[in-house]
Amino acid sequence: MKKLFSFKKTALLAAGCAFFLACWQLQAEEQTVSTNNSQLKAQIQALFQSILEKNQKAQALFMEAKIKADSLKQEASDKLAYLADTLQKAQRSKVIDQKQLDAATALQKEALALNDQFLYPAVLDKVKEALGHISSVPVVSITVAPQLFVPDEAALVITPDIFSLNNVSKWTLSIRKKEEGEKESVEIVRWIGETPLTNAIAWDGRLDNTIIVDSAGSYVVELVVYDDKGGSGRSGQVKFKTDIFTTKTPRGLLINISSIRFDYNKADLKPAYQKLVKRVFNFLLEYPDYNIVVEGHSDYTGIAPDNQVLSEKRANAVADYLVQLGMDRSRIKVYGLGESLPSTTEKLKAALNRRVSFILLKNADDIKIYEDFIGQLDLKKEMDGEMK
Amino acid sequence: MSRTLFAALIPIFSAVLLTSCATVPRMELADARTAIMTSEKVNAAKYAPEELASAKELYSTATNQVTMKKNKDARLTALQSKSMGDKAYFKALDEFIKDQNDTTQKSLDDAKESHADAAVQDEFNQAQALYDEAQKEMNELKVQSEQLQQLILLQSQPVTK
Repeated sequence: MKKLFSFKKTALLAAGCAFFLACWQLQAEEQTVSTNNSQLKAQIQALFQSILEKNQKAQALFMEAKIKADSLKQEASDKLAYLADTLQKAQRSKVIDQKQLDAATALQKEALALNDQFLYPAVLDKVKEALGHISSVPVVSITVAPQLFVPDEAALVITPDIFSLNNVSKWTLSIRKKEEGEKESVEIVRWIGETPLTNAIAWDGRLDNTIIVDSAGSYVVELVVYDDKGGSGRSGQVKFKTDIFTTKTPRGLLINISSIRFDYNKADLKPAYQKLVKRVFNFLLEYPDYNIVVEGHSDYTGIAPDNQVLSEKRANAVADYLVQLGMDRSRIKVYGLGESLPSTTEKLKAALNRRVSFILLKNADDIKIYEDFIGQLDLKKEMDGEMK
Repeated sequence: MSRTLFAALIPIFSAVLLTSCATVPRMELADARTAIMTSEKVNAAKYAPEELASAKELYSTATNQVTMKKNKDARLTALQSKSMGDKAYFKALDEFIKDQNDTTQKSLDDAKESHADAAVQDEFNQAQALYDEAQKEMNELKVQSEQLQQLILLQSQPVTK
């Protein structure tokens, strides 16, 4: 009986242990699977995060690249249009050096080819390089016609040619008188504008709507253009001359030139007036068919015969200087008109009458007209004398 | 006496072991909750909303069953909740991969349409490299996801039996 109990006990114990072991093993297996699950899930989670981050970064970069590409495309398109416009302007203006223009045009072609390949940064570089061949400051030139200007006959036409990459904000056009042998010139007329100067400017030769410019003068015109970026360009001084122009008088064609004046009771040609005489000399050199009358005048102080002599002396002084300069004496007629042809009758301006004038003789008839006039003047003087 | 007592305890111990299955299914409930939380980490709310909602509902039912002392039912419901949670997890992962790939591919296409690959090569190449890397990781993730699915299938076989 005791043995049987012992057997039962042992059997029960063994069954219990076996059951316990089975349960334990099952739980252990489940734990192993669960551990494997957790590890894989952790790896997947890490990959998930990494993929998420990389994709988000890639998406942001693609978007950034797209925005940048769109912006560059627009910029390249704008710059190409600007370059095309600039080159057109440069071609029209004719003031840009042709070699530079050709180089810029070649670069424009390269830029367009690069643009077709969507290589926008390279396009921008090429455009910049092309624009480098074209001046960034205004390039200015002017033409002046006619070169020998005769006021009242036709206007002096000053035609500007301006090339400016930027907007023109101001320009000044000035005419300066340049005396022979003088370094400095004196401004006599000036125009100022704040809008682009596109049309030619015509000048009638008058300084203030009344006083006409001296004949046989040397002048220079200069145009200065300022752009809105602070750049400026000068045309350089373009020369022109005024012809010897005349006013028709009963005694012939009086040359419009500042009168050669003399001190009271003197007949010495002052050095300051030698330049004027030289200008007449230069003119006569240019026109060998023309001759000239040098007529001397006096004021009406003193007695008429003395004034007559004084006026002849003055005319001779000028004629001598012309000969001294190289003029053929046969081309010069000298007359002293005394006090008979005053330029003014005002007492205070009597000094203006102490002068020498020039009458242009274009043909043989002119001297006859002059001498007839002088003859009538002498007759009048005689009659006046008899009256007195 | 002690031998008699020991002999009497053995069947009691065995009975306790056998009846332990009818207690509160804490482990199953914990597993279900973990499955739901894990699926939420992979945006199941966006990519597998129905599965996630179902898993949550089952989990809620299981806890109610525990309250009503229906532990056996609660265990089964918890296991169903875990299974649905896992389903949500794998679906979300799959959809996530597709979605990420589509979104990045679209941004790549947009960039290409703007000729960014030529115009801004550095930026484009950098993005492309990242995208390539992400795609490699996506493939790896697919493999690991499949492995996990198999493991879970193996684990759930005794339950289904």
